[in-house]
Amino acid sequence: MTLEIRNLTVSFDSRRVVDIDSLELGDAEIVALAGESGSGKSMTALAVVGLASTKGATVAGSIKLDGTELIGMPQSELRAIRGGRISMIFQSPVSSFDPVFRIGTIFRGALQLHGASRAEARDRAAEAMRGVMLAPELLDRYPHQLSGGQAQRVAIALAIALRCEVLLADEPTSALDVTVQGEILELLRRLREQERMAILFISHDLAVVAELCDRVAVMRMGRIVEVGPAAEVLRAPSDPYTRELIASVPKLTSAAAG
Amino acid sequence: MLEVRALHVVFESVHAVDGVSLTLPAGPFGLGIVGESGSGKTTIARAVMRLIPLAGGSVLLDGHDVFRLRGGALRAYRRAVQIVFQDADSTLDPRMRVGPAIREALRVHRVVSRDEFGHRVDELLEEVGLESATSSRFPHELSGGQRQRVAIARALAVEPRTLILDEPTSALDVTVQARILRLIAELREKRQLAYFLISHNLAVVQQLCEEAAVLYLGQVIEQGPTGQLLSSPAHPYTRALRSAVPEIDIADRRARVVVPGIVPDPAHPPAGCRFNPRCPFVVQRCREETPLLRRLWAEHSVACHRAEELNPVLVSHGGRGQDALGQTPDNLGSIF
Ligand SMILES: Nc1ncnc2c1ncn2[C@@H]1O[C@H](COP(=O)(O)OP(=O)(O)OP(=O)(O)O)[C@@H](O)[C@H]1O
Ligand SMILES: Nc1ncnc2c1ncn2[C@@H]1O[C@H](COP(=O)(O)OP(=O)(O)OP(=O)(O)O)[C@@H](O)[C@H]1O
Ligand code: SF4
Ligand SMILES: [Mg+2]
Ligand SMILES: [Mg+2]
Repeated sequence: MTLEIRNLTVSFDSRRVVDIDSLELGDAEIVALAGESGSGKSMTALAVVGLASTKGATVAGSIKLDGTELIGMPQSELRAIRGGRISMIFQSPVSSFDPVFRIGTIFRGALQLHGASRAEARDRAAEAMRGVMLAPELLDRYPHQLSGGQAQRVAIALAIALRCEVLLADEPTSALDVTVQGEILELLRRLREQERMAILFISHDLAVVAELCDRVAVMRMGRIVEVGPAAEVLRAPSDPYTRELIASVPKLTSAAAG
Repeated sequence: MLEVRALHVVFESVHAVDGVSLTLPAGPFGLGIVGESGSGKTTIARAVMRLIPLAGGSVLLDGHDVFRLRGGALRAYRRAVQIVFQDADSTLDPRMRVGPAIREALRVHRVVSRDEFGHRVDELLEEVGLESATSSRFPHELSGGQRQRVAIARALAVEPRTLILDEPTSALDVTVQARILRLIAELREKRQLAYFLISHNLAVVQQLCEEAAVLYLGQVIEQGPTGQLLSSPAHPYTRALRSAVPEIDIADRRARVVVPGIVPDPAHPPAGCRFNPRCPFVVQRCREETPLLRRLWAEHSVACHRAEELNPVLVSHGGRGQDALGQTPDNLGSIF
């Protein structure tokens, strides 16, 4: 599997919010998209799954999945790819769920749409919930009956249960405490190794990026200002904005660092 | 002073908050609330805002029962205590542009005169790092972090004395986060602001809060001065939490203490110590007897039967001193 983005632009009226020359995601690779708030990270991911245009944006350029062009593909075909080969964890999990359905119903709908039988869907949902450290009983709840971090983990569980090849994860751990976050990062690493899942990991948390990702692309005002191996970029950033970002990471002071 | 006394919140069969007491003194003061996902932090915040009914306990502002306030007193409370919700999306009115939404807050609480509204809106947006053009946008036309900042600006608009911040910077890049943290630090001195800061980011809590409380399954399991709590965590769960903080610098990374198992559903909490099914130090007593929150020394309280035994250095040195810092949490963590 390869995902190739070339000369991608996303615009609202005359305002260009994404302008990416090139970005690739290879088999079993984890690439981070970090950078300024409002720099176009979410729009980039939404463009990949064909949802940027449904929000009123104009998308141009090329996004290829194993050579097949996704831009301009009819929504009916994109729907099969979304949740099939590519799945996405949205930045605000609570509002991305339909509030009138129980979590279990949402799982069943998504899994059956992509070919699972009813019994299979139930088992896979329970298994995915345990995978993100949630009791399967939470499948009986409505979205608003979950805590912020529980909703975020349900979104991860749902994406994983779909067994996609490419996962677009938009701030998937921002609402998690560090112990649970650690478990989720472990899970993502396992999926990459065992299932060869490729992950585009959008995150503000540079420490998490350092722990999880192979490469990192730093965005600012729609453009990628720096890209490279995560360890290298974070240790010796060459772009001034990346440097500023790294310098701004709040750290536990030495007295508390143990 | 804002007090939460023996608070209980129950959703159908879920006992989400089970006897929590917290005191937020008059500002400038920050009380951090940390804890596992689902432990009841947001529920406490919603209870303080009177958004959900209590199953027991009370919330007091300067000694007055908040749930008994009516009319003018209630309006005054709504202005004095503002909240920034964890999920900005579900709290901003989707049909209202940003500018009018903030103006509305200024108008309802008569913060400034009408002819100053426009100017004040621009000022508030600038304080949170947004261009004044943001005024004319709808919430769905903003990025996640931009929406979160609009929610912060709106809460600050009415110049509250007390703020409840539920993960206020979780959707922000670190430079914008630093700006918001500076803003809060500034306001706390300028306006004698007091706040509850709910956050998963321990470094942020350390920066802004003199005190912190750790929640687990609806109960406070440890509380104390932030510096001390983080340098010498006494409860096994706090220690695991402390050890799991990811670091950019590989050299700074510590061995993560793994807490095995799924957090039990608060609908069926385990008997005795609620952490016992996952605690590496569990003994028979932990399964039978609930440990109460008790003073370990001075201001530092913990709910664990074995606190002294597991933290000998902490107790003998009164929690300070080099030895205590050297011994915890990493060295003790390796026992896990
Ligand atoms: N529907 C819309 N109409 C107009 N502008 C929009 C719309 N949606 C998003 N934008 C703008 O597009 C830009 C990119 O937004 P995007 O959501 O991709 O940012 P982001 O990098 O994900 O930021 P964050 O880290 O804050 O989530 C932002 O400046 C945002 O204000
Ligand atoms: N309306 C509801 N009905 C049933 N259970 C609920 C409801 N709202 C919250 N809960 C449960 O109450 C518990 C506490 O939730 P709360 O939102 O306070 O957690 P939190 O500490 O804020 O977690 P997070 O860090 O994930 O945001 C959770 O187990 C949650 O599932
Ligand atoms: S009381 Fe027992 S089970 Fe609970 S934290 Fe202490 S040692 Fe662990
Ligand atoms: Mg975003
Ligand atoms: Mg919460």
